Amino acid sequence: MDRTIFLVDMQSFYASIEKINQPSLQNKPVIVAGDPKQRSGIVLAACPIAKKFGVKTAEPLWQAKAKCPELEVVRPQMALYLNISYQITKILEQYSDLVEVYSVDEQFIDVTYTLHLFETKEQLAKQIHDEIVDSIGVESRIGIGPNKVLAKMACDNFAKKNKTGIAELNPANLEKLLWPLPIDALFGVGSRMKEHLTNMGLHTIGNLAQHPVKWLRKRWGINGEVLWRLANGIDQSPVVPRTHQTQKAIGHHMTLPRDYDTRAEIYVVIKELSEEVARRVRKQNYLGLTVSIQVQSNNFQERQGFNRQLTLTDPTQLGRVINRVARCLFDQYWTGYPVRALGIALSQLMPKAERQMSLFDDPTDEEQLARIIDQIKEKYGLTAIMSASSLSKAGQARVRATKIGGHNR
Amino acid sequence: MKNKLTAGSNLLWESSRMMLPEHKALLREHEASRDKKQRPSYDEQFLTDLVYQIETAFIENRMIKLTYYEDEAYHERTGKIIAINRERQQFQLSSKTETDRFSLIDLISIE
Repeated sequence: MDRTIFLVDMQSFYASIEKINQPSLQNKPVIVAGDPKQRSGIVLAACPIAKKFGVKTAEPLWQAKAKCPELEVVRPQMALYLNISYQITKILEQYSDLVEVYSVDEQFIDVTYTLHLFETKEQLAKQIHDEIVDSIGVESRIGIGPNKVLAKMACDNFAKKNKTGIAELNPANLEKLLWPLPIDALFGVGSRMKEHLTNMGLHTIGNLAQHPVKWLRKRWGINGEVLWRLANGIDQSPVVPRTHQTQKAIGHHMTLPRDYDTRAEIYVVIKELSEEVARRVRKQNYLGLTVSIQVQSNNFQERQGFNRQLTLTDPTQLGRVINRVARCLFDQYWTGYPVRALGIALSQLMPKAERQMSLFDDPTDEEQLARIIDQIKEKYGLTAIMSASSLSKAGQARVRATKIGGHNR
Repeated sequence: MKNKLTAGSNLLWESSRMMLPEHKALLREHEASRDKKQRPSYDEQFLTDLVYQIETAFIENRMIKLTYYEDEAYHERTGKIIAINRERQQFQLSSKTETDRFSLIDLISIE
């Protein structure tokens, strides 16, 4: 059976929300950007007016200001954006129970089984668009396709650029509409891949689609074949509503407010990250087996920094254990350069119920203690109880507690 | 081993998406709350039927299986009805180990 899938994309999501919050900004060039003092001073979202000045997402704040001096800069409110994204998920779920959130401002909805209630795909798309405008106030663009990749590319390459904000790609118009586009308009082709493909003489999506797949497979393996399929509009992935239910890894990453270059300072942050990872692992009642640490240096040119992991003998959900292993890995691979960012993750997760008894030590007491600390944090906030080391100058826990994704809550 | 070409796999999208952990947590909570049950809301006719079944089971002193709502979930209990309070619309069910009071409005079904 032919499927019908929409990709619903919110226009300048963060900036649109801010304009709704502060109507005085309505007709001004608005961007949402992080705090330059905390090194998060990049453009997270730019409204259409700001974009006309050439302001681009992800460019540094100073660069955006140079292009448009009268720019209104708003600090992000991440919790609000997530909440509104969730409201939109709930609106979409009224049209089909098959809704998959792809990012904060993009959601797939499979309307195959509810489409018959509407006259046409466009009419359904328009109704969804109108309902989001009426109840939330944000403009959306909708890509329509027989699968996810065509819906996504219909949205990115056509719906975002036409007047109606709705566009469809399907096998019938694929060659005419999609194939003439440059190769980097293909989903999954980044700047490096673009370079490789253009060096092979493949400049358009059509070039790639008609290139023999076996050569692509020979050079890039599975990924080569995936790209060839996408260029031909083939994608069998289902829309999976419960896709966020299971997690493969739980990790925490932070960019430091300044470069840290002493071991003692970095230890403080490793400890905080370990505790935060452990807390989230406990919250979901998991145990994890593999600890990994990622260290980025302040020097992007020389390839300093590393990403290393170690597998434990017994699965854990304790910050102490994660901290010990992460520290050990850090000592082994760090050569003394200033550190700009750090990340710690626990993977190979399993539900706690399945645990095997350990021969050597029984973590039950410690886990119970950790659970009580978690409860205190849930009730009185993340900073209600923390390690004394977090109060040192290097500590980030108090700043972190006010943020989501490194930006204001 | 599953890869991006495996039929029915969602790996292509799972490996490319950008989601904040807080956002995922929100969606997980949402999924969990979808599984929660709500207190049934019945029409007059259905309630009359239920009352009739309770009364007959009481008179016949018959073992019944009760399905009822409590704390956002459905539960089952088997036993005999030993008392009915018509004013309060409650009754008592006695099983081997315990006796409990149930309200008519929490009932899902009686067998």
